[in-house]
Amino acid sequence: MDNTSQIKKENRLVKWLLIGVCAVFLAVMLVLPLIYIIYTSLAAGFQKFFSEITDPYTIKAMKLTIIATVWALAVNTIFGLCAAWCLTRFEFKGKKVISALIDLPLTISPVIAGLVFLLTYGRQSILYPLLDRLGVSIIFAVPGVVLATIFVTFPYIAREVIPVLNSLGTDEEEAAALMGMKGFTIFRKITFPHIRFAFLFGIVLCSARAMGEFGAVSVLSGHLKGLTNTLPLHVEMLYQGYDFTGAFAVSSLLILMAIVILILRNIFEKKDV
Amino acid sequence: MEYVTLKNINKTYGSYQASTDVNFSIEKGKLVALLGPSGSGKTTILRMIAGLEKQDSGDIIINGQVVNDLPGSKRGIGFVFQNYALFRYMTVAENIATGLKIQKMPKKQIQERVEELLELVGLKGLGDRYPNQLSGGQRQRVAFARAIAPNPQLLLLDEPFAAIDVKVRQELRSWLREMITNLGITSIFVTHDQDEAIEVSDEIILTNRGRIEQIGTPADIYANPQTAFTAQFFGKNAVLKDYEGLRSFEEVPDFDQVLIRPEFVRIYKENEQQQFSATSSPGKVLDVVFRGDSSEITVQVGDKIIVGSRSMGETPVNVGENVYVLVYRLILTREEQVKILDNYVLLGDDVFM
Repeated sequence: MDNTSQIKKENRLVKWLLIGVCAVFLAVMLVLPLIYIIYTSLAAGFQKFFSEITDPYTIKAMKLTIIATVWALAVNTIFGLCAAWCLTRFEFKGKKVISALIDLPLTISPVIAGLVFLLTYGRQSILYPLLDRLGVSIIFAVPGVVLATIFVTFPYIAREVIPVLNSLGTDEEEAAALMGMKGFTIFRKITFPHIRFAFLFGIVLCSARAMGEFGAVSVLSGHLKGLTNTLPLHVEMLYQGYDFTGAFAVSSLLILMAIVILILRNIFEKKDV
Repeated sequence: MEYVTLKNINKTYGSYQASTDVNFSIEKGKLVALLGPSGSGKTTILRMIAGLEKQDSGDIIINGQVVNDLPGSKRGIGFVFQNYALFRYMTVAENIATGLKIQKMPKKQIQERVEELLELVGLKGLGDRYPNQLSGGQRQRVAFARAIAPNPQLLLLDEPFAAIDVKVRQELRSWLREMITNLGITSIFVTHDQDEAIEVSDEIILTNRGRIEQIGTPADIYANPQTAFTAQFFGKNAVLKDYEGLRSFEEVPDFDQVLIRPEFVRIYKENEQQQFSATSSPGKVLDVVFRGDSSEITVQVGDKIIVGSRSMGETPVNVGENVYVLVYRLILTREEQVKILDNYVLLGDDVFM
C-alpha cells in the first residue's frame, strides 16, 4: 500500500514536471513572441495599426498572397489527386522515383528551389530567348511568385491522400466497376467520400504553407513593391525599413490567417474520427 | 447444360505462374466450390471469370459466349467480395440499389426490388443503416443482396465466410446454400476450408499450385482421391511409410507413403466383441483427446502411429490401455498417383461408418 502511494506520488511529480517544461517552452517560444508582436503592432494605437493594414501596398501584397495560394491550391489539387491515384492504383516502372520526387520540396531548401527556377527561366537560361519572344516573363514577375509557391506546396495534398487510398484497397472500386459504374463516377461516388477529410486536411496544410512561403518566393519575386511582394516579403521589407509597427501589424494579419487555418484543421480532424 | 467453361487458361503475374492450363465446365444451376490451399490460384480463377483479371491465354465461355474481351459488368455476373466491399458511405438500401440505378431501372421499380431483396435476406427495416452499423453476418447478407439485385445468371463469391466468426458461419453456410438453391442461380465460391466445400457445394474443383487437381462431387472426391494431393488434402490422415503389420491388405510393390483416415479405423477395447477379429491388430493407446461428441485416439501398432476415434456412447479407453485396431482402407500414394487399398476381409461391407 505504502509502495503504491509512493509510486503514485512520484508519477504525479513527473507529470507536473513534464507539463511544466512544455508550458515554459511554449511560453518562451510561442506565446511571448506572439503577444509581443500584437503588443508592438498596437503600440502606436489602433489608428496606426489600421492605417498600416489598409496601406495600399499591404493590400496589394495580400492580394498577391491570395492569388498565389489559390493557384497553388488549384494546381496541387489536380496534381496531388492524380499523383496519389497513380501511385496507389497502378504498377509501373519508375513508381518509386516519382514517389520520392514528390517529397523533394519538403527536403530541399526553398531558397535553393528559388535559385533553380531562376537559373531555369532567368536571363542566362537557354529557354529565355523563347520565353522572351513569347512575351512571357517569369522571373521578377507574378508568374515566378506563383511557380515558387506551387513548387514548395505540391507534396502536401498527395502525401495526405496516398496513405488513405493505400489502406482503402480496391475492393469497393472493383465492386462498383462490376456493376458497370464508369471510371470518374467511381472516383466521385465511391472513392472520394473516403479521402475527403484527408484531402481537405491536405488543402489546409497546402494553403498554410503557400501563404507563409518566404525563401523561394523571395528569390524569384525581385521585391518589387506593390507588384511582386507577397505578405511575408512585405513584412520583411517594412522591417528592413525600420517600420517596426508596420511590420508587426502586417505580421498580425498573417497570424490571423494562420489561426483561422488551425481552427479549420481541428474541425476536420474531429470529423475524421 | 454447361453454363461456364474455362478452356486452357494460363495466367502469370510477372514470373509467378498463377494458373496453368486450367480447364473445367460448370453446369447451369450448380453450386460449385473452388477449393485449395492459399496460393493455389483459386481466387485468380474467380477474378478471371469476373473479368477483374485477364488471362494470358485461353478462353472463358459464359452461356455459350466467349467473354474474353467483355468487361466484367457485361458478363451477367454478381460478385461477393471477401470483405464484402460494401460502399461505406452509402446506406444498405443505396448499396443494393447501385447496380439497378446504373442499369437505369425506373425509381419506383428500384424501390420495390430493394424492399423485396431486404425481405429475402432477412434485413427488412434495416435499409437506412450504414454498413458499419451492421454485424458481420448482416453485412454478408447485404453483399449477397447487392450482388443478386440485377438478376445475374452467375454468382461468384470470394471466401464468403472467411471474415465471420465460427458460430455465425455455420448458420450462414446453410442460409447461403438454401438461398442459392432456391434462386437456382449458377454459383462459384472460393474457399480454403474443406469442410465448407464439402458441406455447401454440389461439386468441388480442387486447385493446387495453379492447376486443377480433381473435379467431382464432395462424396466422390472425398472417397476416391485421384491424386496424391487430393488424398492428403481431405481428411485428417495419419501418414505412414509402410503398412506392415496391418492385416488383410494385398501386397503392393511400389509406393511412397500410406495414408490412413480416422474414419477408416475402428478401435476395440480388449474385451469388446469384434466381428472380424482375425483382421485386427493389437496396439497400445498413446493419447486420448476429447473432442466433444467423440474422442480422438492415437494408438501405436507395432512401429506405427494410427489415429482413430470412438464416439461418446462407447466405453472410454484410457492411455496405456491395450486395444485392437481394425483398418478398413489404406490410401497409397506414389508421386502424383493414388491407389486405394481396401481390407479384403471386409470387401463388400459398408466401409463408411
